[in-house]
Amino acid sequence: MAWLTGPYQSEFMRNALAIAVIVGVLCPVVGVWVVLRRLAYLGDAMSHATLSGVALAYLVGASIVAGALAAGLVMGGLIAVLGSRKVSDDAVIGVVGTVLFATGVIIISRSGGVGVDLTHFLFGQITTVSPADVRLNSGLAAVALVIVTVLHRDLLAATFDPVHARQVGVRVDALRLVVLFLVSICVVVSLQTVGLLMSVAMLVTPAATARLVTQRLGTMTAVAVGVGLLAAVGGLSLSYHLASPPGATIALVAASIFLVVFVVSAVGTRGWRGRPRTKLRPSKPPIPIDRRVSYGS
Amino acid sequence: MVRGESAEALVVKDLSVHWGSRRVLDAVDLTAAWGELVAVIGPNGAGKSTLFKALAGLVPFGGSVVLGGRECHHRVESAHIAYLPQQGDLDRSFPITVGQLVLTGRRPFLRPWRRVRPIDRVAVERALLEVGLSDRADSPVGSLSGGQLQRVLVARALAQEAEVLLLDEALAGVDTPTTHDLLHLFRRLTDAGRTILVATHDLALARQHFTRCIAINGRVVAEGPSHRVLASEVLDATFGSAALPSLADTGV
Repeated sequence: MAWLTGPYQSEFMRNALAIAVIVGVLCPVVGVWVVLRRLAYLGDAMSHATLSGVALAYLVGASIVAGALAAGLVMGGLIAVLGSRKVSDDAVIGVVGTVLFATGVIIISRSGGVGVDLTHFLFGQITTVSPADVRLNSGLAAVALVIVTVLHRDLLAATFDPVHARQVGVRVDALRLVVLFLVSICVVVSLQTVGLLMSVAMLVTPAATARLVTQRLGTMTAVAVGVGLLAAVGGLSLSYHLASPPGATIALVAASIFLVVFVVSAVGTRGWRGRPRTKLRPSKPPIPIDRRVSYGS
Repeated sequence: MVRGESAEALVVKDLSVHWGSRRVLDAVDLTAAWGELVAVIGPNGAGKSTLFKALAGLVPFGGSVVLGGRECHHRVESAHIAYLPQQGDLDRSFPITVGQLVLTGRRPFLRPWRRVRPIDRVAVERALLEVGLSDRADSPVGSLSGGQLQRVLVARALAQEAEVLLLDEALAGVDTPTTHDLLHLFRRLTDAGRTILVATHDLALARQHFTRCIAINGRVVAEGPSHRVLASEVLDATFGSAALPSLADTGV
């Protein structure tokens, strides 16, 4: 017990814990849709692209949150504009994501003397979480969760069968932008705990873990949140005791849970020796066709 | 209710569809009365899916479509016509239950932010009852057979209060007993006054089970009673001479 509560004697670790809880709930909820829509790569590229907005905001003294969200929207807009039949979406995402990431790196290198901040953005800066950050991030998370709740029927319809969804009046293209916006919010909220580079771990890993164990959306979301909370809070505590970077520790805890669930579910369906659990029925001898000539004649 | 406003369920005049500069469908005229079960035949790339997508409002078109007496130009905007996709277009492992899937058909009457009303639940239950799957509402879609999934898609169209159903390759890749079950279901729905168009490659099936048949290949080659449309000169014009070996099987 002391192992668990020990890290949270100090004010800044309690703030960090609050952010970890927010990340542990929000990212898996949005992540369920990222995984179901097969957008893991988009999530990864968006987290990188966010650096440009964060760096620019930092340079001009604007709100880092606003900068990050703006970068997300620019990325979404560019993908929508550049996507075409000839170039597949993932190629466009690769191009746009790296352009925005590279822009961020160059802005930071040119700003002089703030090199240390680059690593803060990339890997998180959990020791600098303030109560104001906690309030802002819980507000952002609340907005995102309301959007997911209100639109969940449309998200389900558009993700399972976009053609039918469009026919019954779902704005499928607008919904795609909404998902991009939600991913943006997740990246922003994860910025301080896990950092840009690892934010996709909290977005994808818990939802992917949940996908292994259930065929029901409600259960999948609940399991994803459980895994997310365990990874975020467990990873944060572990990083305190091991004096390891929190972001990387959280990502590895999440991945460890995924691995355990993967092995357990694989064993559950196949048995230890890799054989199917259900025995095949012994086959009946074939009906000797050539001896059944006396059909009607 | 759309039905009753007009004798014909569907009247299509001079319909054309372009993909970029390519004309996929040209000068398509066809009609379908209420309660008709119509087979739409044609080779791959003949425009069967495109025709259905245009009629369902998924693709803009030139010409006119009159649906239950109401005329639509450029794009059909009506939930009374439902397009059922080819099964291969759907992810069978997707975490959605049968009930949730059928409920998506209620979208035209149910704004996203509204709670699901009793009337919507009743519509879903009735639709599942009609296709004989009322005990499967809570099952994941992944647990269904191909024939059952097709029934669930029909139930979604019924929950949508669609009067005209467009089924794309509904009978492809299902075994013979399932095919007969589905045809039986289609006939019950058409007996109740709904109009069903089924795109199919199976000429024998079209001849045996469909009263009317439309042969298309970029345009309507023939339209009328199945035994007359499925005559060799029409099939020649629709499929080219490659169709000839399969004609022997159909007994045409």
